[in-house]
Amino acid sequence: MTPRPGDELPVHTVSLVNADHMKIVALLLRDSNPIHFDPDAVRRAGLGDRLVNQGGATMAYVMNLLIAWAGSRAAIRRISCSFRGNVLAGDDVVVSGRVTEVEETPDGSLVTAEVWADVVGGRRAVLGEATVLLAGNPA
Amino acid sequence: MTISIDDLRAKLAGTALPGGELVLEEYESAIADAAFRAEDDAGGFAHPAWFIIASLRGMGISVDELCALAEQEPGDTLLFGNCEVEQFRPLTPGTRYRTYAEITDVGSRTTRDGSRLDHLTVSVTVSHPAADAGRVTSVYLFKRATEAA
Repeated sequence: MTPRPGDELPVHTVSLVNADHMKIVALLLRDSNPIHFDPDAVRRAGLGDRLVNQGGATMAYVMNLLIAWAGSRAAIRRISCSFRGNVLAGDDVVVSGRVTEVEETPDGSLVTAEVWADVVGGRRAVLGEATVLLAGNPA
Repeated sequence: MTISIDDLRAKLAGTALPGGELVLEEYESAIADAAFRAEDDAGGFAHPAWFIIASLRGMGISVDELCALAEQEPGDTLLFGNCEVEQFRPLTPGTRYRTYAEITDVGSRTTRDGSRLDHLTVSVTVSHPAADAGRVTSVYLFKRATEAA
């Protein structure tokens, strides 16, 4: 069924954000910022005592939701996210979204949605907008 | 003393960065899937977050060197403000990509606490010989510890 503006995307929870994953992502990104792998650096920066997840990794959680919803990694056409708050090791993160626009094309429904990632019991970490192609919904 | 925003803009806006190459190794793709908590059937495609990886590895300079270009001083804080990924075609593991990078915009605003917040916008295009695969536009924020003269 073709989605309509106002429809909610599924809610997906990422449980217990993993400090070891942050270290792997730091290597992949060549990101030398120690708040992703050195608890002492986190304390010195006044950010508490838990490692800070990379914004790009939290954005990847939003991409995972869109991939599951649209059915393919190729479906994502555009995603833009602003980083509003930190996700820390051990946090649970809820990602979801809401359809804002649907354009019918010969290739399917081009769906734009507001998307977000929230720390459970806390702050909004990511807010953005994404466009995906639902190829099973040709015009 | 922190560089003035006019001088920073004159110095950096429109500056082409070296760019480079990204070889998307299959083993790195598999490790990235685990670290990004991806649970889907990849279908032969790399995770779209690889565009973010390409944008950092493909500037041709390190983040530390970008900070130096922005004349980051002790006490200045680097923040990742915004990231836009445009995927024209998905990346595939085992493929070599070329990256082209440019500082497209430099600006500044004053935050509610009175701090000066400068931004650098960096655009990285990820290209395959056949066609561009996508583009990443990242906004790096520098919260200055001191006021400009």
